Amino acid sequence: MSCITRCPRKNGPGLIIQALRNLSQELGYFIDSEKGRQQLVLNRALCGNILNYGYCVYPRTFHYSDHPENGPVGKLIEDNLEAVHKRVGSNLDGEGPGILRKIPQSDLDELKRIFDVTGATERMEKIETISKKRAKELGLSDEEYCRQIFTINSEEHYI
Amino acid sequence: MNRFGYRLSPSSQIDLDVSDNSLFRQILAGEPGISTCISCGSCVASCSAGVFDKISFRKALHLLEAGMDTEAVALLEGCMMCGKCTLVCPRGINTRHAIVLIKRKLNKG
Amino acid sequence: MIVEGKKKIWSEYQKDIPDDHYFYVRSCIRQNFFPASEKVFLDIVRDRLGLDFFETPHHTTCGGIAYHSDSIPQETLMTIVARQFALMTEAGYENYVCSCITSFGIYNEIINTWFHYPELEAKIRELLWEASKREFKIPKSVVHASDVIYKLRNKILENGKYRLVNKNTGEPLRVVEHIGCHYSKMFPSKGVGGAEYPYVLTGMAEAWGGTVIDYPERRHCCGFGFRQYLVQANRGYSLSNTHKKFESMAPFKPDMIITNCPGCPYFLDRWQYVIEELEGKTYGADSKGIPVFTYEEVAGLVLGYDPWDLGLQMHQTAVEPLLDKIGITYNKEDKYKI
Repeated sequence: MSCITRCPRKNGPGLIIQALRNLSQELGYFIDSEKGRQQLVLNRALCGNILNYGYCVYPRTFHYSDHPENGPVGKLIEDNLEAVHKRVGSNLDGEGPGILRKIPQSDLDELKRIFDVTGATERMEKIETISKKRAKELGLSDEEYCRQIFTINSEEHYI
Repeated sequence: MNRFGYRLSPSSQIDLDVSDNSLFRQILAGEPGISTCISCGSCVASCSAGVFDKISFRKALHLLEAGMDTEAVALLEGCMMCGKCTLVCPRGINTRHAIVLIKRKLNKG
Repeated sequence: MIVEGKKKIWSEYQKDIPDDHYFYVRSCIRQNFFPASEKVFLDIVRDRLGLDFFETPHHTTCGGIAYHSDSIPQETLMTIVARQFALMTEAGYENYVCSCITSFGIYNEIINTWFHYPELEAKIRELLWEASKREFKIPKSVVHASDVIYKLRNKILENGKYRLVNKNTGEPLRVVEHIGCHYSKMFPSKGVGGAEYPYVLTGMAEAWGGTVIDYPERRHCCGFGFRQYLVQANRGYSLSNTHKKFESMAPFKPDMIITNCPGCPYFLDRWQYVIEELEGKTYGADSKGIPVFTYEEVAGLVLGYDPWDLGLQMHQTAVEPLLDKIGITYNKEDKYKI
């Protein structure tokens, strides 16, 4: 959002880009661009974490294999997740308040209802349906399609 | 591709203190009007050949100013010299003349 | 740099930070990658300084990362945030403090949007009622946890054991302060010092004995960019961003980097490792890397906490060069002991 600070008319170009991306999802255009198609993997990872755990990022779904930049220390943390978090005072998947506590099911149910009444669930389903149709057209399995949109950069997005 | 699956791209930052924009300055001397360009893009929107080729006088001017001559000329190669851009320019720049100058300079090597 | 001019601008952005009684909400990223920082923060404000910071196990993510990655509509984000506000209201608090900068930006964005579009606020109140039968009051004050540490910086120094000074030369350590983009770039008046010259981390570094480096890309993003990092195909953009920042700061020979956003230390730390692997280039004096810290970790070091209690072993770029410069005692063998 550095653009907002710089804009002499106090506009928010970053927010306009967000609005256009949202519109492209609403209209289904997202499927026709390389960056737009990535929405499927983003939705599955982020909405999955929110609805299942109550966090946007959750350590048990953040895999070193997908994030090698996490380095040898990241690998060590993944291999010893519970011990490392215990050492530094986390309450990983524990009851009550604290770092990475287990968020009660009643709160997760509330989040699900919020998703339902505010249109997030409908949006997720739309992305799923359109993406699955495209994967079928390309003759790819769900896993192959996701792997492709997650890893391939055509490098045609410069300048 | 390396084991990370992505790579480092060189910075596209243009250091105006060191970039060579002598071609831009030569064109400016021949067609001073280009200094009044407001980058509105009317020239691009009205371009007859624009639907067939990647042509952008607006972008070419920016690139020339930054000393990126090769990239700038690539955006003018398809120009048919119809002069429609000159007709629509709200600043009255003789864009056709500027394009002629660019092409002439380059033809001379 | 015209120092007097900058000081004048800083003085125009003095933020009102409440003294006590906060409703505390955690950060997803900080809990994942720098968990000890949140523990130390609460330890300092609650146990050492005796302040009231209430936390409920029922609060959740604010949804910010999903919103900025275009995975949830704005109404969903607003309703999740409204639920957080409802939890605060139910607990009887009015001052809201968050650990996350993305969240901080989102709270400011939402409150500002509701101010300009009250009909949207009314709609969100209805949606929240429909989803969870909760009602809320807008917080009287929204601050970031780094604002609180900024306010308490002199108290921390008074109780401190170490200072950000090179023990061998007696010179102040050269600090790069990196502010999270969403701290004040969107709403400059909501951050200490505004967007151009934020003072929140500079104030801490200077109070604790360090000197802050001014370099060309000082206000440049760490490179996270949400979907630019989350999808592997885009990570080159994120990496290249950070690379640009490091290239800009390197000639100024920083001893350390201090950050207030949970994501920034992760990227400034991990991308140094990737740049080393891909380009063979290691930053920092003696090519040992530039250690990156959260502000809580630096406060903890000043107060004399054991570095491994602060979770510094979870960093990829080694922190020992800085600990040695300050003269902090630590046990090498304990680093990875679990």
